[in-house]
Order: sequence, then C-alpha cells, then structure tokens
Amino acid sequence: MIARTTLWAEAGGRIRWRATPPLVPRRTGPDEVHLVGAAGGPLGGDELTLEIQLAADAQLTIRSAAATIVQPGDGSAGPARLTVRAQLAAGARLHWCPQPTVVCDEAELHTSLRLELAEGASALVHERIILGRHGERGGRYRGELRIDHAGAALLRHTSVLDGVDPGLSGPAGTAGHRSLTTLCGVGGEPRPTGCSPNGERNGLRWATHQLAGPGWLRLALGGTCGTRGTRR
Amino acid sequence: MHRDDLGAEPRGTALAVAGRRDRRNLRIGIGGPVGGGKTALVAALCAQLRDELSVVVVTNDIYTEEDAEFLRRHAVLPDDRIRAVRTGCCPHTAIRDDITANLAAVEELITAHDPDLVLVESGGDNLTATFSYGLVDVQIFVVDVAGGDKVPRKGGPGVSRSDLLVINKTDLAPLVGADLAVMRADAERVRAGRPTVFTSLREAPQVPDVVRWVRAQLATWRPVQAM
Amino acid sequence: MLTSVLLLADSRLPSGGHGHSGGVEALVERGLLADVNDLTCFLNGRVRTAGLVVGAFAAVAALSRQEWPRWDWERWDAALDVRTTSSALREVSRAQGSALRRTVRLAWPDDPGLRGLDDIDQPHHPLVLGAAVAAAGGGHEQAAALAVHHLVGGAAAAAVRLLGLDPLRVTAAQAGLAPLADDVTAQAASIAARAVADDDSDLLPADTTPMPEIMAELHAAEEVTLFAS
Repeated sequence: MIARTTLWAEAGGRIRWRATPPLVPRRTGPDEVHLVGAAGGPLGGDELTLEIQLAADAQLTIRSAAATIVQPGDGSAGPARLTVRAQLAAGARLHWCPQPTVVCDEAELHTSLRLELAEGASALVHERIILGRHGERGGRYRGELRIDHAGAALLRHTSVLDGVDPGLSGPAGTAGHRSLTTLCGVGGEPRPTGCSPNGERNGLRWATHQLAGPGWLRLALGGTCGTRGTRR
Repeated sequence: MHRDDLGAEPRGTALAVAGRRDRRNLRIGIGGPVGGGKTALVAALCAQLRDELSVVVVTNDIYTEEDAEFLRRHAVLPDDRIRAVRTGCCPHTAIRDDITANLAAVEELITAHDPDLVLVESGGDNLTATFSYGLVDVQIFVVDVAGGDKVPRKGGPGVSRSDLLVINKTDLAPLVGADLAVMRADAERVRAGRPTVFTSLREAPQVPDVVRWVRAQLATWRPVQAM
Repeated sequence: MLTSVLLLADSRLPSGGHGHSGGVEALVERGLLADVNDLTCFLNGRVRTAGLVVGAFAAVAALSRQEWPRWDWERWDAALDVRTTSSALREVSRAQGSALRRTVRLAWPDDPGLRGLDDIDQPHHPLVLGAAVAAAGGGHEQAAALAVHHLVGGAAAAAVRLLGLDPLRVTAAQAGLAPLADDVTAQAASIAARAVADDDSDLLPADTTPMPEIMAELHAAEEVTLFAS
C-alpha cells in the first residue's frame, strides 16, 4: 500500500487536506486534527507519507485516534515506511503527538520525521515506540528525526531499535527496556516541567539533551522486561 | 633547568609545552603513594604562598573531585583555581604517558588566572609513578615513614629522581619503628645529591623546608624567563 | 606510511582516551554490563551505530586532502554536532579532539589539513583522527577503521579495568568482532566518499541507540566517577 496525505494549515484555524487512506485526518478542535486509521496498521512494504504545510502563524496539533500496530508483511516486502515532512513558516507552531506505535515480533518499521522550521517557528514532537505486544520481544525499528531550523541543520538523529538482536537490545541499545519515548522541542518550545531533566526511577531511565542549537530532546526508556537492570 | 624546546605546536597551546622559555608559570608536580600526604602538602603550600603568589591547582585524585573538595573545604584556594582531572583508573598514565587531559586543565587555569605557580597533584599511586617533564617543570615526591624505613632504599623513579623528596609523618617514626637516620642515608645514596626533606605536616603545618625549596625554584625559573 | 598510521592506532597515543570508558562505566555501575558476554554485546551494538558515525566522519576528514584548500572544516564539524545529541558527549568528543590535535600537530607540524583544524576552537575527535591519518599518509578507509578501533579499544580497556575481566578473553572478543568492524568500516568509508563527492553532509549516518545517550547525561551528573565519560 502506498498512500500520501497532505495537510495545510493557516493562521486563524483554516485547515485543509487531501487524504488517502489510511492517513485520514478528522478535525477535532480549532487547531487540531486526529489521524484516524481507515485501514489496519501498516504492514511490511507499505509506504505512507504525510506532508504538512504550516503557513505563517498557523497552529496545528496532530494526534492519532489509536495506537499504530506494525505487523510483519509477507517477509519479502521489506519494512513498512512512514515519512512525515513538515514545513513551518515564521510564527507557526506544530505539535506532533500521535498515539504509541507498537512494532510486533518479526515486523520492521522505518520512520522519517523531517521538520523544516523558519526562524520564529516552533515545534513539539512527542512519539513513543513500543517493542512488541504483550509477551513479545518486538521487531525492528529505525526512526529518523531530522530537523532544520532557520536554514541550518539542528538535529540528525536516527534511533535504531531491535527487540531481538543482542547488540541492540543489550547494554549498547535499550538494555532490555521495551519502550522509547522521544520528546523534542524546537524554537523556544519550553522544556517539560514536573520531573527532573535526567533520572532513573520505577523502571524508567531518561535524559534531556540540550541540542547544539535552539532545541532540546528528551529520551526516555521504560517497560523493562527480564532481569536486566535489577542488579545494582 | 634546561630542557629542549619541543618545537612547533598548534595555535592556542603555546603555553602547554614544558621547557618553553616564553612561559612565566612554574609547574610543580606532586606525586607519591596513596596516603603519604600529597593533598595535605598541596593545601599547606597554597596556604603559605597564596598571599604572595598567584597559585592554581590541578588534582588527579582517583576519585575525581575528592581531592579538589578537600582543598575547597579547607578554603585554601577559591573554587575557580582548582581543576580535577579524571584518570580512568590509571593515575600514572595521566601524569606520565598521556598527559593531554592534564595539559588541557593546566592551560585552562593559566588562561583564566595567569598564575605564578601551577601545582599538579597526581592521584595516589605507587613507588613507580613519576611525572612527565612535558607536564611539569619540577616534581616533588611524597612518601611517609609509616610505609617503612625501607622505602628510600627501594628507590623507583619518584624516590631517586624527583627534584625534591619529601619524607612525611616523621611524628609517626617512633610508633612504626622507622629509623629516620637509615632513611636519610638511603635517600642520599639513591638520590645522587638531589635534596630530601623530612616533614611532619601535623606538627609543622607551615612546611618551611618545602616552602623554601619552592621559592628557590621560582627564583631560578624567573631569571630564565627574563632572558 | 604504515608505520605512521600504526602510531595513530596505538592506545598509548596521547589523546586523553584512557580517561574515558566509552559509556562502559555507567553501565557497570548499574549492573548492566558485568562480564565478557555483556561487553561483546555492547561493542557489537556500538560498532554498528556510533562506530558507523565516527568512522564516516573520520573518513570524511581523511578525504579533505583531495579537496584542500577549499575544504570547510567548520561545516563538517557542525554536521557531527547535530548528530551528537548529548551535550556531555559533544564535550567529550571535543576534549579528545583537542587533545589529539595537540599530539598530531607536533608530529606533523607542516601538514595543511591539520593546520586547517586550528581554526576550530575544539574540533571533534573523529575529524582530527581522520585528518591525522591523512597527514600520516593513510587513506579514508584506514581513518574509518581507526575510529572504530578506538571506539572498541577504549571501551574494552575500561571494562578490563573496572571489572577485572580477563584481558585475554577480552582480546579474543575483540578479535571476534573484527569482521563486523571491517564491514562497518567499509560502509562508513563508502558513505563518506559519496558525501564528500556530493559535498553533502546530510548523506552521513546519524545512527544511534537510546541507552548510551541517556547514560552519558546521567554519568556526567554523577558525583564520583573514575572515567570522564
């Protein structure tokens, strides 16, 4: 399945789109849309693309109605691919906050989230990847986060996860954790308050990184399985 | 003090090569086994010299900031005159084989304070430790009598070739059965005329002999600078 | 040429590496890396992600020789900055880069590539390493190989010191990883060649895993550590 959806938002709450299932938007607030899955979750070989254009001073929050479950395809189809490209003009603000994505056993998902922010634009990204459903170890994930701000590269970050591969599920990768939450703010987006920037508690480990430019990135690992991490 | 110029070096590191004649800051390394009194000696030198000289300290204690904390706690120097270098379980490597992290710390302090005197304290090690003369101009090796009066006889580069050997904790000699005369004779034999002083930082915290030696080093260092 | 390049492969090369554990100490402290098997898994994951990145950047720097003098070090240095999420790790890379530059500038004082790096206040380590390999007469594949080699060697040495691992078994583990390291090296070198030919740093890899990035910040905030990173 190959699908492409384009969303346009302007200042004052005007939002338009041209959608192909399964990426179908529904308006749920003055500056908000939900993506409602009009088909089952992506399978191996699927290529889904979402283009987002925010005009000057436009505000847009994009959520999804349900978790995305990525299943393996027929084995020869290659990974499922989801590409999101957003361009933000000056004064625009994007909040990208989909429900979690679950990468099932044997499945493989490649995502690419590319943001281009003009000077004065801001964006908040909130994504969560879960390796496997209950009782599973999870498949493979490759998530590119690529952000340009005011014409300069700000972040090039490709998270590589694998629930089975010992090199990536071990101490160099997720150390047995099963979920990765990525929270990223660019262009004056305030850092989250309410918990310390870095810490380890209740099976969670997280850190907030000041990027080499106007932005921050919080990475949080959680959902430990097995016995790793209990020795200290 | 005559060491060859090491030649060309990158911009911004001109201060960092020992033996350069265009450097006014004298660097003294202070090394020796664990527990001999290195940090206490550094604290004593700072206390004695800080009013007449601009002094900075780089400490390499194996447990990172601990020695720096000791110096701060005793308020011998303001915080910004102390840098701690982490040595990855290898204190002798950091002062001898790969001195780059210490050079960077020394350079930062020189840039910030243009001191007269830079004290580089090694992490506690053993008798085989010694400073590279790429890092320091002269070095003091500190041992204590509690290690036994055979220490000078054993030699090792620190005991035999340091520019000053300090034998500390003389007040403990009767308690541990150490014979100071034997230590003195052995030290003279292995050190070929290099000076040795006996101290008790507890009984004489002003360490007059060591302070006198440091002043003499500064006096011979500065005329070279003026040339 | 070979002898000069081997100088850069030596773990005794003064560049401050002995004070860094490559992320091992934080994992050892938490019981997440406890034996040679854990270390092998760790190195495997690191080589394929961080190794690919540092290898590619070292290779890019070694290729600068062809492009000199219109080579722009700052651009490639910035490209590694945006791939190093953790500010603690950016500092580590820059501190080690400065340390290595100090050593190799004395070793090859007239090399124009290395001299060009003087314009960067504290250049990233892989760039200095790659430029040094070029100064030593080596090629971009060797630069990538050395970057991966030091990534592995630094972490392995730290694990031996922290855990008292059998150094013979650790060496055997490293030997077992060599084919993977060679693959990654070749991949890094070919990506770098394309990036330089197209003059496009966006072609360079940014592969990373979450644990090392999170641990780097937690480690930097620790009161008592033996290694700086």
